[in-house]
Amino acid sequence: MSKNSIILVGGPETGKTNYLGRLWIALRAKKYRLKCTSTPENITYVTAITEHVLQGKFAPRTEDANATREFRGSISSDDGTIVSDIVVPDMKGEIWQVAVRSLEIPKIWLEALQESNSAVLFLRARSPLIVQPIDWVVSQDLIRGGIIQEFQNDEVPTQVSILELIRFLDENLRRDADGRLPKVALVITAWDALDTDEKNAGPMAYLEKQFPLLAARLQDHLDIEIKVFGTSIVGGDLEKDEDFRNKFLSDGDIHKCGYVICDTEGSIEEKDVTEPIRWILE
Amino acid sequence: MPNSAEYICKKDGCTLADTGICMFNNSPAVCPERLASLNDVDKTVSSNSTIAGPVLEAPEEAGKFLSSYTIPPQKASEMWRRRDCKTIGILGIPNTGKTAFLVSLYLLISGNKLPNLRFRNSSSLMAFEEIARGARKWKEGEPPDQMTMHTEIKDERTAGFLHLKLFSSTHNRTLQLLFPDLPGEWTNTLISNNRVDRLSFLRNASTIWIMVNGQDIANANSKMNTIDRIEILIDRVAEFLGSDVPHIEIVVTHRDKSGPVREKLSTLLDEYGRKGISIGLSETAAFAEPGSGLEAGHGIENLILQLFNVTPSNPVEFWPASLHSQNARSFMNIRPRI
Repeated sequence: MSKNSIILVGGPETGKTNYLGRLWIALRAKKYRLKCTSTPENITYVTAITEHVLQGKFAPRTEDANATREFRGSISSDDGTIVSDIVVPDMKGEIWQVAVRSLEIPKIWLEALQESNSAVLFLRARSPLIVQPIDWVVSQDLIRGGIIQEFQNDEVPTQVSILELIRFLDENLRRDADGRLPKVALVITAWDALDTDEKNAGPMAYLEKQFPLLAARLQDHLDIEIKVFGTSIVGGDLEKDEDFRNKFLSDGDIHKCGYVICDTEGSIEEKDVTEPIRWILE
Repeated sequence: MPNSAEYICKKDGCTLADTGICMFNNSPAVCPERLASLNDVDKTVSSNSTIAGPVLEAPEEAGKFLSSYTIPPQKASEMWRRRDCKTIGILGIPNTGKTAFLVSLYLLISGNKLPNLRFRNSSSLMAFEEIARGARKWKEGEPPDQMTMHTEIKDERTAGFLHLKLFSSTHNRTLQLLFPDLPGEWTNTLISNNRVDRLSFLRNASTIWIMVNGQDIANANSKMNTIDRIEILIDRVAEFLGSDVPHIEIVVTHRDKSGPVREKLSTLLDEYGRKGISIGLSETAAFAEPGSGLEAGHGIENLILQLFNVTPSNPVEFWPASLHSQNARSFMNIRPRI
């Protein structure tokens, strides 16, 4: 039985916790490509998340930085090729955000990272928290016209934050004895928020357009293996789309909702929500 | 009631701790019962003590990630030994636009705005980001003319490096570039006092850029003096490096404001060309003045693409380990030939 620790990485409100909740729902159901082979002992954390989702809400941000936030389980794939115990630590997003700015992280979480041999890195599409500062080099007409007034932005651009997180993973994930590179699934959440053209173009095209520095970095040498996915855990916005929420609740079958998109050999494929974890474990 | 020495009284039945009012209606400051009881109170401070607040807890030890700010010389030396890595020796007195150049390059690359160059990696990404962020603060309506690099040089003899790995579609290969983070003042002291002890990294440079503000060339009042300073600088560098002097590129900045200046520098270029120095001129504009007909970043891509053509020179330690080392002593003995 192999053992894998898959750490969840990403800033605040990037969808880590909701993805974990949706993943738990899928693993329990035993009709996705991955399933739990036994019910984990402590499911307090994941149950708290799923309660929200099943009532048509996204789980709120957890305030307590020290709360035990992890999922442990025994997993196997539908074709039997994957059998693994997994631990999935879920650190509060603010901790990652502070780490990028200050290079500091609570020691217990650095240890959790260094004990992990894989990761899921989250980036939320169209998030209001995305930082893409105006490029003043090419916007000087706007500046001179007074359209952009005194402009101060001390925030790190999102793509630079993600690059730093990739660097932290590259430098700290545990290397297993089999010599394989640690895997990192880069998951773009809230995929449903994109327009049709963006969705059809796929996750890599989305990165190229919105985060070119990040997309370019993925083409260079890394000591980790990265694959990019897009995901929507229920297929729509439970908070902003009242019609969608009502339909979601009245249809009443979570297993018909949610998907993962990935670029595979030149084409865009839709998979079930367990796909990033399945790819990590295969 | 709040836990505070002010509300301590051990007198049996006293209500001071609960209500803040002494059972005898005395002022707590002078009540004899309270004052007597204070002598018996255990003065050991603990987290449950009502005398004082909790003991200062030792701060939890934080884990730390490696930095991606400027690269220290030691690490830069290791990188430079790679065949695909080039060091660019950038010299320029203050206000010649060196920082703006690097910020413009970084922002153009970040936004994928250069047709033939693409980003691949940077080990000093946060250093670039910090410089660019400093550059984003400006007064209303006026882009910054000068931006300072917020780097703390702990050892005044050394400077850190910025790193950029780029892919050229023209050459179909990648190249790693190291730019030294030098204060413009070091160029001043090189010119005025031949201070070369901090500039041994120039021995590793595959190209030396001499940054010049195009406006200083275009302006008749400053043109001759500026050209004179460039000549002294080239002479100092050529003397210091001897036969190892690499290609020297005069990089004119603020081209959007100065207009063409190539003709004004043609005599200088011819003169040094005749002396056997490989020398060239590039005109650049980090920004774009309206009406100049230029785009922001004019000339920057071409200048970088040139680097893909330059062959590497031999590796030498960047900075002397100490001023008392044999190598350093020999550097200190350099005297200009007059």
